[in-house]
Amino acid sequence: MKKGILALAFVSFLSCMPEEELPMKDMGDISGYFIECYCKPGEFYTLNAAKISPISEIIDLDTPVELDVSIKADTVIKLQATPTPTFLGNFRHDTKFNQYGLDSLYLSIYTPQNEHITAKTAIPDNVTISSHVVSKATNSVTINFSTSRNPVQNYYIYSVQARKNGSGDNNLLKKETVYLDLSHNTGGVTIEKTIRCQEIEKAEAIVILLLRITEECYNYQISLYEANSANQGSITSPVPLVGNIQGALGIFTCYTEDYRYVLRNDFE
Amino acid sequence: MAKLVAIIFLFLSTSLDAQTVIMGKVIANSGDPVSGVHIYCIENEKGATTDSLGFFQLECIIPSTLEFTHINYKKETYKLTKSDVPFVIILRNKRNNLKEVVVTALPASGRVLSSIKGIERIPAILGEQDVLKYLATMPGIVTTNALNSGIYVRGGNSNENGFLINNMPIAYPDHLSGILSTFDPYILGNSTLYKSGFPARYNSFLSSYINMRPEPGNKNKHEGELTVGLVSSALKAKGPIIKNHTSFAVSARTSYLQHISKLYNRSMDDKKNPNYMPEYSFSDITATIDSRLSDKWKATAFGLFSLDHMKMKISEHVQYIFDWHTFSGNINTTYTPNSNEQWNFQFGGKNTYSEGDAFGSVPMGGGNRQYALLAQTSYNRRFSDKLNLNTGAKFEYSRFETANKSDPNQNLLIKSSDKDFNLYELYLDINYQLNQNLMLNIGGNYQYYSGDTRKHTFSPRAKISYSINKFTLWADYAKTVQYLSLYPYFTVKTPIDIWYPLAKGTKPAICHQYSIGVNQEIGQLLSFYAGIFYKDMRNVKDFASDIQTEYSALTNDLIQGKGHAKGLEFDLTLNHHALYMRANYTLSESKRQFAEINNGKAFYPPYDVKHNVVINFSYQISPRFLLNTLWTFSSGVYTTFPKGMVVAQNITEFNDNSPILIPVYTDRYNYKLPDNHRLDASLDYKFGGKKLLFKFSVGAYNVYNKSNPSFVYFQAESTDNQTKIIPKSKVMLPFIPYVSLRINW
Repeated sequence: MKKGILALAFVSFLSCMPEEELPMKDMGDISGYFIECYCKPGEFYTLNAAKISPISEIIDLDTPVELDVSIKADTVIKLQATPTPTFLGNFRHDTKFNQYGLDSLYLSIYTPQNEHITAKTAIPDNVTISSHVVSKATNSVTINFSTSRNPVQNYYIYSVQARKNGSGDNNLLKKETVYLDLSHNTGGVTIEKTIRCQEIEKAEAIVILLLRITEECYNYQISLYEANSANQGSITSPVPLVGNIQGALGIFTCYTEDYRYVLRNDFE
Repeated sequence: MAKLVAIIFLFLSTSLDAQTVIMGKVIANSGDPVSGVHIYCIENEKGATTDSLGFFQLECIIPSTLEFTHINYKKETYKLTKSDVPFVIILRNKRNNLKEVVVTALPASGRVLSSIKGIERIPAILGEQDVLKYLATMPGIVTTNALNSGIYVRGGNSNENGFLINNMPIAYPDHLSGILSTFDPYILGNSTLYKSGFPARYNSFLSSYINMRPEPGNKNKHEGELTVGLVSSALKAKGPIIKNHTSFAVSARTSYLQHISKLYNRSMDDKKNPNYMPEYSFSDITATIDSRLSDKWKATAFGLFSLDHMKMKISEHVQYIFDWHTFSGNINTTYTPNSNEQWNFQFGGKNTYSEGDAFGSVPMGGGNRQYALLAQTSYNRRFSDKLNLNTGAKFEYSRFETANKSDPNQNLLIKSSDKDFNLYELYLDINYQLNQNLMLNIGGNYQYYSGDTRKHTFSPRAKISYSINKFTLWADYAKTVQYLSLYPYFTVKTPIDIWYPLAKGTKPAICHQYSIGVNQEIGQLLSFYAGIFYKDMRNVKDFASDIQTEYSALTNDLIQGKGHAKGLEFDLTLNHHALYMRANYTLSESKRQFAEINNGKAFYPPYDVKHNVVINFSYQISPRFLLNTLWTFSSGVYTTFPKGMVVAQNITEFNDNSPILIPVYTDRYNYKLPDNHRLDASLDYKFGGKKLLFKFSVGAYNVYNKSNPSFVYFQAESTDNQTKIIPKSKVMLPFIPYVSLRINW
């Protein structure tokens, strides 16, 4: 009977959900730069920069970009283009970002056409996962962490990866991410958050990641998520990317992170 | 075998000779309904009287002779030979020299009439007969997407249509997708859609008004209906509560699609990349009571309750749960002191509630509720053969509540916005017969809106029509006003979208519509209609593209702009014995312009359908077999395409900042999708006896499996470090065969 109903369901509603290739049309000119710079304490200054590719053209990640990039922290740091063209981190400096004594960072970029691109970001406080539980019984990961008394410090990304042993995509069973706007929690309270993930039952290790991000970064990540959702065949309304860079598309921000690597023996 | 044939013929003759309940409408040359017309069936000596909207219902034998009498109109007789025509009678004024009564389906005078008989002439997809799907086959009315249940009238948006029962606004009982039925024709089969030249009593929506008249029930005997379809079943009944005095009609429907989805989802093997089927269910109950209190007093009550639930599971972690329900109810009393006067007193209420939870990457949740209390009175007086007056007053109190869910675990709703308004309304319509051929209608509607902002509006109406023999020419003008906007959650209209009243500092949307039309009848066989319209719209609302987070405020994104729509419509209807054929074509253009969208450039909204063609062919092969086909063509609509693509860093990847491709959206509605067309077909077979009548239907949606796009997505194809983007479309509704069974007793 079950099979009969399923067969009926397939014929009537799914019979197939065909897809058709649509003609690519000239969608008009698009120009400018796409820039992302995430400063993380203890990491080298890196920046990704590329020209925005029209959708009808082939995207070449190896195309070099000529820009004059500097970041003002306690001193002015001039980032250099990497010798081998690559998109992610194609501008960098051999100095690690040290947030102590700083409350803001400034970005300044000059293009070959002498256009000035600027941005400013705040630096979030450190974040700490105060406790965590990986439950085999409920296939869930629960963490506790303290929020800040300052509302603008209360934007987070909480992510869980269920993994087999080893690194790389092949060993990733499942990843779940939650973007948290806790700016309404003004009292500095302890928050408990749970992510459920069926793949925990098969996982040999769990990676728990908690990021404290800026409000600008939160909005940017949401816009990335929603723009990407609109691209995945859903009916989500397309939204423009919401960044904080003057004169270019993208984000210049800082974040702090804490993580736990939990082996299966430590699951509860 | 001979026995079987004999039985079949016995049933056949039984059903042919049986008394049939016919329903119809009586209108004057001007297209206005005529109340108080007495209809008498000579053969069985039964009679009925038209109500304030000109509708009547009468039990009679087919064939039979009907007499129509009214103090201001010439007595007419009509030989009724079949009951399967949309039954509209045009009465001649006593001073008018028109030769005969006309029976027709009139797409004329800016109005579209529907009846259960007309609805049965189009294929009932998955066994789901629907008033709206029938109306969407008329010129000037289109649907755009398989996911969308809304209709778009003359270039207007789907949220610019007012739905009314007995002239009172109701909450729109939105069921998901364009394939399911919204209004059950068992009770709401008789409806009138106004797309121009609106009577003065109608305002508060820009594009159209769909006024449905509930089935009054059967005051003499009980009857019922059971329908079993692939996605839902329904049980319906009508009959007397007090014989010849008070009757009821009720319809209850429920779906079982969700059980099929659950079984399918449980069998899902690929947990890493699952493709879950939405678990969607709906139920609704429609009920009406009709009571003839005395010769002068009549009362009716109507109620419609709908309940929907949907769970969309994207992965184990990400899922959306939506619940929504509506309730509408009204009580209507009519006092007719004499044949020249009629009073109506009405009270009603409507309530819409929706709640959504999004668990996953962007946890969102919230609810929104709109409820309204309504009261209205109307007075209709016929002063002379030439002059008729309709006037009335209305009051509406509406309240809108939206709430955010602070934490999915706490299941706590925090009110984020409460709005309300009072709307006071007065209207007056005067119909004046200038001479034998010319009829003039003038009217006005005054409204006072008191909410976050206060506005007085006056909406004039005018219409002139010229009739000679079976030819009618008319021109009309109407100004309409709308105070509500609809905040969309998705790219298509969904039932969880949020209605929102005027915000402080904003103005009501206004539409000026100018329309001209002609109608020519050729005997009782052929009817031709042509129309032209232009709409000028001001202060129309939209919402700016912005990220939606837990604490997004609607008013932040509300924007105002302008627009226009213009078009041509043609319709040809042939109704000859067993053959019914209708073909229509609409050419239209709709544009909107907002300073905040596309740098202020005018754009074609996603409901601008340039060419729309409908061909409906229905043939009664024998008294038992009915073949229905419907072919539709519509130009592709505009959708939003990204202009560029960027490669972004994914900071949520631990020690592995792998890039993700992100589309860059700049302009809205910048890509025209391919044209849509499809053929639907059904074959009905009726059989049964004295007590039970069966209708077995077999049919198919999208017979030749045209891949009509439902939504667009992009696929990246990479070689080495080079990536090419390929746009693709998903087809939600390919070829779908179906069977359904209906049992009447």
